[in-house]
Amino acid sequence: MKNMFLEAIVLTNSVSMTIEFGKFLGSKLVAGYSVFLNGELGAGKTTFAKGLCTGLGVDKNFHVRSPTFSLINEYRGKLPVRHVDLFRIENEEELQNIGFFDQNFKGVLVIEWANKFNLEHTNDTISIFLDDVDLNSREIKLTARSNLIKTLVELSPLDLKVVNN
Amino acid sequence: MYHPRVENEIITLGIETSCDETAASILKGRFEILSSVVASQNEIHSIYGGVVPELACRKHCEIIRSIAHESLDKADVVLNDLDLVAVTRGPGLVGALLVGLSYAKALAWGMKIPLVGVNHLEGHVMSAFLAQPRIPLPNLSLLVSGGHTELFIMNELGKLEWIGGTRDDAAGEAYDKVAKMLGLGYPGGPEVDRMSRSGSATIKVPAAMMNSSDLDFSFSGPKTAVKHIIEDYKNKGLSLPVEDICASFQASVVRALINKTLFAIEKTNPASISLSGGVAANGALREAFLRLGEELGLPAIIPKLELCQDNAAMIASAGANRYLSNPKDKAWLDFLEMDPKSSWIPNGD
Repeated sequence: MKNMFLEAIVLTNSVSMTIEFGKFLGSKLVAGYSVFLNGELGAGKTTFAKGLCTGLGVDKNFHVRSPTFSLINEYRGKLPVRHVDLFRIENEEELQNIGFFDQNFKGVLVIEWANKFNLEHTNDTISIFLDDVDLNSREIKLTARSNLIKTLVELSPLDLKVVNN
Repeated sequence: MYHPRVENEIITLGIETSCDETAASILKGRFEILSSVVASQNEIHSIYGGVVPELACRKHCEIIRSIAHESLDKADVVLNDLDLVAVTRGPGLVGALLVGLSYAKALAWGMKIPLVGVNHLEGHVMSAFLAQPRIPLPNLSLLVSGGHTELFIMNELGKLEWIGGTRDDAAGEAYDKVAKMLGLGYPGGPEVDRMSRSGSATIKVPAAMMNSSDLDFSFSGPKTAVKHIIEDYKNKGLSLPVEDICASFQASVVRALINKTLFAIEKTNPASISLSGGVAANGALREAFLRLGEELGLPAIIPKLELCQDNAAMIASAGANRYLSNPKDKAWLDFLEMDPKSSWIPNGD
């Protein structure tokens, strides 16, 4: 199974570049996709999510905010977007209780702190890890099924490169 | 048959379940609190004798009835005395909102009394009027909590116009995360406030959107800056000046909140200002906010802490106020289809 997935990496050196890359990725997503956003506090998960949502057609004037406290934010773009944050979630039971496993949702799920739980990585999952190199630069690592990564590498406005293991 | 009492005597039951707290309150008229019950973890533990996951929506289900009845008992009111039910309709977690909404609907339907679905943020703004009913209008309101940082102008009682808010993290959230980075626990916002009292703001933390010409905030920047300050000290093998970092971060946040409030005052020319939400407990913010009012000769209102934090009295007040603006409207009795609104910022509605 493992070799069906590929990893790619891109470096951004400003907040606007990070948002721009998120926007690019968002514009390529369709209903059913999940985007896992991982990285430490201050790595830029919410910033990246802003870009993603713009790419998904959420109105620019609509404030995409951190769902740390609210747990789930919902936006209307070309597709419905559910922006989830698991930072405050302590265990599986709480995950159940907040309605995280709602099967009826037909849109794009964006999940900050996804790696706190062992969530299933499906063919429609893009796992992203953000690493803050310094105050403004971010190393963004994407893992997804290989043909999706190849398409993204081909279309990316920034220098997105496949990582050869 | 339903016969409302005179305006200043109507009895409202308020219900709040939008987030972590389960709360109920009995209100007389628009502003007189007869009781306000907020379920604390301790109370839940004593009722159920076990650990309850703090974020569980199920928790609301389990205790909503006993909390509502406790509010009735404390107010010395029985169900038959109720004229109105007010319930938080949003913003919040759908699962959590549904508990309060379903309970409120069933109760109002059974009692054949009207029901008002209230915006949680409107409730927070109304808490200033619970503290001091005769605040001159227009009132400029700064709402700062774990989940929100918003500026509203209220020209008419209960009618909010949104004029600005955070673009990323809420101020309270940034406080809690800075506390976590400094090893002060989570949530630890109050701890940052406490530590900063013995520190001095000597470390440069960028302000949250000082230069832009709008009324929006960003607290993600100062939070991330603190992270890099911590890393810098660690890399150099220096011990962390925790108090100074707290003081510097706090100064940055308070400066942004106060400067934007001042900017909003210049733009909207209010007759009074008010501060609400859980972060209104922050010592430095309270002081700066009161000083701002004093300098400008504007009444500045900060409700007491119990009213700043999530509670149902503010929901009852906002609901009663809406209902009394047009008590004859049949729509108040047509509530069975009312659904929760998870993302809902009041703006002219």
